[in-house]
Amino acid sequence: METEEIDKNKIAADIFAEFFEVALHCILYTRRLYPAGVFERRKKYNIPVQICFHPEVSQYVANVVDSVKQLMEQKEMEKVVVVVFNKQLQPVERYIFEVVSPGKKNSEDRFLYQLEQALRAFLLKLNVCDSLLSSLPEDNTWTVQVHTKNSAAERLHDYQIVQDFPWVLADSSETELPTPTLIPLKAVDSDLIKMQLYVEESGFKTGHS
Amino acid sequence: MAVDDLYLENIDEYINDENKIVTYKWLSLTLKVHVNIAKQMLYTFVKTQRENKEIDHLTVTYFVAGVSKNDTGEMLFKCGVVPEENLSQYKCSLSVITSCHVYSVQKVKLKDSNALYITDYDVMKDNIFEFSKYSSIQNPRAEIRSEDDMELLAMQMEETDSKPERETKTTNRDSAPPSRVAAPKEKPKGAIANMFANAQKIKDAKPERKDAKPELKQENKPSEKTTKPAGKKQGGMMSFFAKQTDKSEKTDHANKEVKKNKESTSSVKEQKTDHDSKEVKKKEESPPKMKEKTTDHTRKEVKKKEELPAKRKELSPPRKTSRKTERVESDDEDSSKKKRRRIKQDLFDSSSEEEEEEVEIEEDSPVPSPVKEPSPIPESPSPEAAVVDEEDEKEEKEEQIITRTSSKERGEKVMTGEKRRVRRKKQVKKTFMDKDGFLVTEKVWESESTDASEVEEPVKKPPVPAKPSSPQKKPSPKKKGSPSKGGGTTQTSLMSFFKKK
Repeated sequence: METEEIDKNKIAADIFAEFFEVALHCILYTRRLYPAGVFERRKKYNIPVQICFHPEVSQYVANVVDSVKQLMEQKEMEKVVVVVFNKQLQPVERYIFEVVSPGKKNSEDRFLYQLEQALRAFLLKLNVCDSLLSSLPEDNTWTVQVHTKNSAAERLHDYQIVQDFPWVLADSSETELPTPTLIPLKAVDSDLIKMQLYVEESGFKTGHS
Repeated sequence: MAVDDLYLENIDEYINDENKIVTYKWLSLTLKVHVNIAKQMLYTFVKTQRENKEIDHLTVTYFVAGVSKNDTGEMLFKCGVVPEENLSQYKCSLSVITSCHVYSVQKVKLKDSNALYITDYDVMKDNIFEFSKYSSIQNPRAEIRSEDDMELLAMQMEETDSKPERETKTTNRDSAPPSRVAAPKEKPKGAIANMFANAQKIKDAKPERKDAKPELKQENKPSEKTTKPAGKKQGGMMSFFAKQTDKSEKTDHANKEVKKNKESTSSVKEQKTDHDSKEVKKKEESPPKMKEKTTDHTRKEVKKKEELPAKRKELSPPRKTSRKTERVESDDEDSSKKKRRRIKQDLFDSSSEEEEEEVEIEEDSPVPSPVKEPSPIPESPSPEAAVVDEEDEKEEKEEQIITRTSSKERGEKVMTGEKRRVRRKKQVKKTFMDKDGFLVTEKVWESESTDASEVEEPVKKPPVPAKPSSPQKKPSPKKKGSPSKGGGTTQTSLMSFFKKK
């Protein structure tokens, strides 16, 4: 039974890591964090997705996803947040992927078709989230934050030394949004992955520091 | 009209409340209406929304199709999905507009067509068979194939694509159950399978001809290859040797006169097995018959510790003869066939050579005596003894056989491809005085290499010293595949095998 659990954990972590990478690229594209020219159309879950092929960006994303996967495998991760900062380095938007451990559903999704469908819906929603959010100001920067436990952070520290990709502790100014509004996007609940995606946006979006 | 109102409300919900992208396709399938009605509904919706509200928060894309003239004066029929902003511009580019209707309506400003595709994907998948019901593009004669039809089609596809694999399957099935497992796995090896497909076809075409040595070689080669990559080493080796049986049968048959090797006993046995195997040719032979020839070789690996040294011996001499025969024949064949044959030859030759040579190597590195002791026929002439020892060792490690074979093949290939290297290992009896004053006679292998190239020797050596424990008489579990044991040798030899192609 334990090995079963561990296997499921690993699979879930793999799936989430794949999905998160694609979602991250999708956010970069949809919110115009990078010009559309650096994106290339690729296929994932049988739908076209835009992936950035700038080497440094893709390398950074790959590293981030790798660390996230590590945490996910140990079930230590509460949520992953993609934060968009404005020129003054204040967070204006946060895309929160909240992950909880799935319950024992035992539904008949052996080949994960339903899960794939759900992830497709996630990506579709990310594509159209523009209409729900107010537009971003110019000159943004972005980062990824992970909410986890202290012990896991220590473990990650050891891992990241090997990977040469250190994570630093974020301070509250970077994590908190002033006057946030919450916009839920999508949720999925399968027996492998249970997560929801919502967006917090700050009231100060339009260039006002 | 009341119906339309309801539908319009639905659309309103979808677009405004749920923030969906509504394409006409999606709408028609969701509401189960004809596409034209869906298009009209969308159009009406957009019109009313724009009339009622001042702020236009809807974005609309249109599908436009028409004829246009390009620079060279050719008439082109173009169709495209364009956002509203570009609509007039696109229309101007067409000289004749055949159709223009609303494609989708949504609140969000679309950056590209990805979202449109995603929107339709799932709903299309769910209604894949009913889609034409609501579409104007229909073919009344188009019917969904029944299950039986699909099966037939699938079988036809398989036949054309993987005919050789099938043949191999059938032949393997007869040879041994394990090969059956190997055969299905051959299919995924597309490239290799196709390569052998041709050879296999030829083989199937002339199954009974003894003269069809080249074909046999070819078929043997593909079958070997197809079976080999098939991961199930036992089965693969079975078919490998099964095919070898056919091949060696013929070659041995022909080469009996040609080749008189040191193995008198073995040659006698060879002939017997040759005869037997000849009857068998197609590997439809029953396992006992298979035993007689190359099957012996296979069986050695398949059946743990069952291989008799005699069989081994039989194998090696036939191989040698076969090699010679094959070489002779190769001159007469086409270049393409030649190539294959050569490889086959190499395979066979190398396997036989390897057996001998590797035995020697193995004997050198570990303690010779324990190796020799278990051999049931210690008194047989040196090559046989070598074979015996080989066999003993091989009993302990099946993979090594494969390893040797593969490295041998490599060696062989190198040989045929480049220069002819004649490697002979002689077992020489050396008598010396040991520390206690006893006169000890030991058989020691000395390798003589004319035209020596160092490639093969060192390669073989490393795997031998790398497995010092294997020659011991411990009943080490025979592993099915060679990869683990063969280690570098197997891998490299196999790879070189393919490279030679």
